[in-house]
Amino acid sequence: MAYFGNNPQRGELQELYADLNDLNFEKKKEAVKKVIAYMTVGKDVSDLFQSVIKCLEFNDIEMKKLIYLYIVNYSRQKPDDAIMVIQNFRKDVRKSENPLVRALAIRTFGCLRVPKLNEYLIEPLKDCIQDDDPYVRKTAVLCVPKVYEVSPEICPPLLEILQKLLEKESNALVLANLIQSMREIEVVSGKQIINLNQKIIQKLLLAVDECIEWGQIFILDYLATYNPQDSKQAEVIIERTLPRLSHINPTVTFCAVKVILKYLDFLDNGELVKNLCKKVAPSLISLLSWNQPEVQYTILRNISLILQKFPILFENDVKVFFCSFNEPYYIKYEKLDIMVRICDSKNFAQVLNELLIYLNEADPHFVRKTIKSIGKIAITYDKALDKAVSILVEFAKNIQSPTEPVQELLIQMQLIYKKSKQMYKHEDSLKVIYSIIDYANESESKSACAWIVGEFGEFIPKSVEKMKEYIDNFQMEDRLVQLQLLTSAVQLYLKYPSQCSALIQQLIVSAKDSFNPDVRDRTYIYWRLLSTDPEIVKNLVCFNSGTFSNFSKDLRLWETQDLVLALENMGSISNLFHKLPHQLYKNIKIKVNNQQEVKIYKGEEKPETQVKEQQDENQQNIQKEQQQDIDLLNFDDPPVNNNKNNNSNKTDLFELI
Amino acid sequence: MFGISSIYILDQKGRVLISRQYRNELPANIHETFNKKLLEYDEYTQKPVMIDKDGYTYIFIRHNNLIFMTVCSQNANCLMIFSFLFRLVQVLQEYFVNVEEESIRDNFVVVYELLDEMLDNGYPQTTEFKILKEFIKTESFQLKEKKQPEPANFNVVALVSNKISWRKEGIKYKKNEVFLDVIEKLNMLIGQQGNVIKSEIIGQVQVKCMLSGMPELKLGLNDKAFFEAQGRQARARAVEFDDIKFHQCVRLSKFENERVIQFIPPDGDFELISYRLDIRVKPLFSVDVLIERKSATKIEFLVKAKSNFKPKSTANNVEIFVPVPDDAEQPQFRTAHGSVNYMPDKEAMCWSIKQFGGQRDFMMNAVFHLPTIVSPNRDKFQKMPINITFEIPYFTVSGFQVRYLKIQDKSGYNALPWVRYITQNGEYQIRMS
Repeated sequence: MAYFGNNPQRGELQELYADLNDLNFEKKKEAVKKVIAYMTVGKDVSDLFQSVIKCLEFNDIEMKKLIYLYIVNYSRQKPDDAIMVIQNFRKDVRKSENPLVRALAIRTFGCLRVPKLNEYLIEPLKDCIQDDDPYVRKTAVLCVPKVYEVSPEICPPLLEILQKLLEKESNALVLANLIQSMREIEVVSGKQIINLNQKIIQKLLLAVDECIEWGQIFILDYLATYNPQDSKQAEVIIERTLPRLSHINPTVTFCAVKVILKYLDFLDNGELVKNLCKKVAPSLISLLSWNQPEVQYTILRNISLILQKFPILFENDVKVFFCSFNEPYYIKYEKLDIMVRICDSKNFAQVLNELLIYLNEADPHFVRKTIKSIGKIAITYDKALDKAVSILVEFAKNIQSPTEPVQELLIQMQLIYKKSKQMYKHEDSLKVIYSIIDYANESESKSACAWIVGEFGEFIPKSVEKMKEYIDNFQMEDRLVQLQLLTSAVQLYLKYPSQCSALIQQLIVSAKDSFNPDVRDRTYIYWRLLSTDPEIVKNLVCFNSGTFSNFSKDLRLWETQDLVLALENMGSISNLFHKLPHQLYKNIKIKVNNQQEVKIYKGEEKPETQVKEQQDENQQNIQKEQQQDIDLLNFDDPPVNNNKNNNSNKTDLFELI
Repeated sequence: MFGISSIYILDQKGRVLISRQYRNELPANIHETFNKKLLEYDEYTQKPVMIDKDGYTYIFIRHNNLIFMTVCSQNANCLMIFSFLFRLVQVLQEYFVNVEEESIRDNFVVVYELLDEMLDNGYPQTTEFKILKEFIKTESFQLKEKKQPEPANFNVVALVSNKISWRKEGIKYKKNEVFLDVIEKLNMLIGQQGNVIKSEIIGQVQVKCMLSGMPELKLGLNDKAFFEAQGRQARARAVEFDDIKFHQCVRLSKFENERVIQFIPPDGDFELISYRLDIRVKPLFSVDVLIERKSATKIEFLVKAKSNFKPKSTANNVEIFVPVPDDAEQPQFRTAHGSVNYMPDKEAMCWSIKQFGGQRDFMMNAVFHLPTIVSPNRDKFQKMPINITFEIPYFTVSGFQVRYLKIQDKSGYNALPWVRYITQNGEYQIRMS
């Protein structure tokens, strides 16, 4: 097998073998480096295991690190040989004066991940967790989850020691790693391992001040999952977290935001809540204009969640989400999405003006989405209709080919006409749209065109000819288009009975034997009705503008009861994909399910009153500023509230995208 | 929240330069899955986070043709990983200056050592270059310095787990000096009528610290909130920060409570403060472009640039990029100030003016020939923004000022602080139509 693939030639291996066994130290060291180089590029050098291990005899730290790297890589392939190294590890841990060496040994030991070796690890690991040197301790505590992953059954004594350490440890860095380790084991095992008390929380808060940035992240992130006992405690924790908003590491800032937002639910003092919101918002906005787009992207993906629970944060800041020309498209898409979400009857003109610019972008898919957004705003806000249609018509005038955006344009125009038929007069929109009707090449846009021809037959010159053209191609169309064609043709027939009778005949003949039962049924229904009572058909097919109110739908990105859990996971991968952790990671243990139940309980029971208060407050604010406004941002209405405040005009943009 | 499962440094073609596994086993060739996944996307749809059908998440950044990629098999903190990757690149830059394929290959042993120290069980640990360099050295470092005796490592260990992890004891300079560079970048988006759509100042304070011992520094700014906290009348030129962020050496709780910036600085260069101001500023530069189509094959631009800052300031290296049709050719430029270049690859002409005084205006005239066969995107240029780059020394748009810098050390030496100010363009764009 050595003749194939990536494996080094036998000669090379032999040469290395010779060098490794050479008496000259420098030569040995060079050989070890070469071995690692081979390993890196994926060549198999596991056959040299014995010889490499022998080099451990030299007390050279650099070489030791390399050999350990090698062992970690191949221990799973050669568990029997790896046993021989155990003695070295134990010796290093027990005897070495140098904490670096002790830490290195225990770190590497933990990475072996061979079940039968782990029992040899327990004793030295215990020693290291209780080592005098914090550097060794911080390494050792991170070692426990590694062992737990492979052999959970031998870990209980270790967990006890961890809890003891949690109570007496005073070094900030060790404490941070400790919390992180225990938290990981909690998630993996589904059991509660961290037992907090007032003293430990105090200690953690103190450690946040003294710790390196990553440690601050571990602690803050953990605190965001903790439920404070009362308003007082929440206040204290928030107070200690506030300074972190000024940290240069975006993750520290974001974790601080997370903690504060989470604890807001537990505060009694409404004034304080408002003040805190004022402090948090600028920090978030800074993160949004962070100079690394990857960071921006992660924040943007989390904003939808924050918006759903805290619309108050971005009330007057739609500009923050304006795209700049040179941004990567993945940022632009997110911003566009959010802009539509925070569009309201106050700022729609500003948003539309901005969207107008995006129609010039190079990416057809982005332009398409922009058109969709414009349509959505138009349908949601009566006041925005005129402006939106003007923009779309202007865009339509420059169309010369059947591009992707054109399809969306036709679809959105249909929706706008459905909402308000009168719009066909505005800026001569019908004439302009009709001139590009032949560019439709998707079934949805085609069906939109068929609808327009039927609905506006009397305003379109040669509409009957157009319909004939469509019907000639009837067999080739999708089901969606066929169904619309049937209705539109009948509509047109009612307007021009004499000119269309031949047309209808032709249509019925070609549709009545359709393989699709929907199409067939609809054909027969119209056929029967037309031959009995055309008046009924009229009521059936003629669309009454104004009845078109089923746009109002309640589509929140997150379920209300999921908000609390989602908020705790802010910044994580699952949130980035707009999912809950257990939805994305099937192997997350039952613990999460339990947790989730608890959280649903808490999310509805306890905070509910506060949420309501907050909402009322929000509503008052909004009402003060904008009298009869459609309240788009208030996602959080509990059902009771909903019935009271909702009226049929209340629409939600989100559903439509 | 979990850590990183493994980290890869890949070259341009997706070959592995460095790979290090931290957690549970991953498929051996997972980087190949990543490479395949990359190909599924184009420039419009590519995102920096991808997930595959087995639930492995790939989080990556690019740097000089290298890809720094991490695989996570669990629900890790994505933001933290990005922050870490950027920090990793930064640390590697401090080690090798140019982080590229060759320097990674040549120093792979050091890179492994660093990865071993900077991440444990997939969680970031010590990432401070000033500490790492104390015990992980490149060969060139080692050749120069004498081999450190073993006990030196003890200090290092103390440093890692110490409160003040960014500075070691016993630093000595003959002449004690601190240099502060206040750099403000102006992000601005201006509409075609000259109206300001968006304006934002991103500022930072860069410090070069050459001080002995463990000095305690106190920095005073003309911060409006500080004056208010002190109960004093705010000065006319006080600045109201929307957001301000500090290097980890600054005592954040002290700042939060008293608005006092106090710290023990790291040695050498570091970024002390970054801040953001969301204020409406008048455009420093405005540009008007008049386009005249003389005939079907000829287009003429009349460009007028005006500076709106005080006459005593001068902007250096001003470059104004005006978009032109993508098929324009045979340019003819006329201007009394600066020089103009045609940049076909950017579909723009670049008008450079070495020195642009305050309250001045300059004109430039450009004529292009257009081929008779019309390019499909010929009119696209009118939709692209004008970009401007510039530098204005001794000036901050926001009015940011350092009021004092007090330096105190046990040994009681005198030290000199130096401050420089400069304003630069950030994303400074003017929409043409």
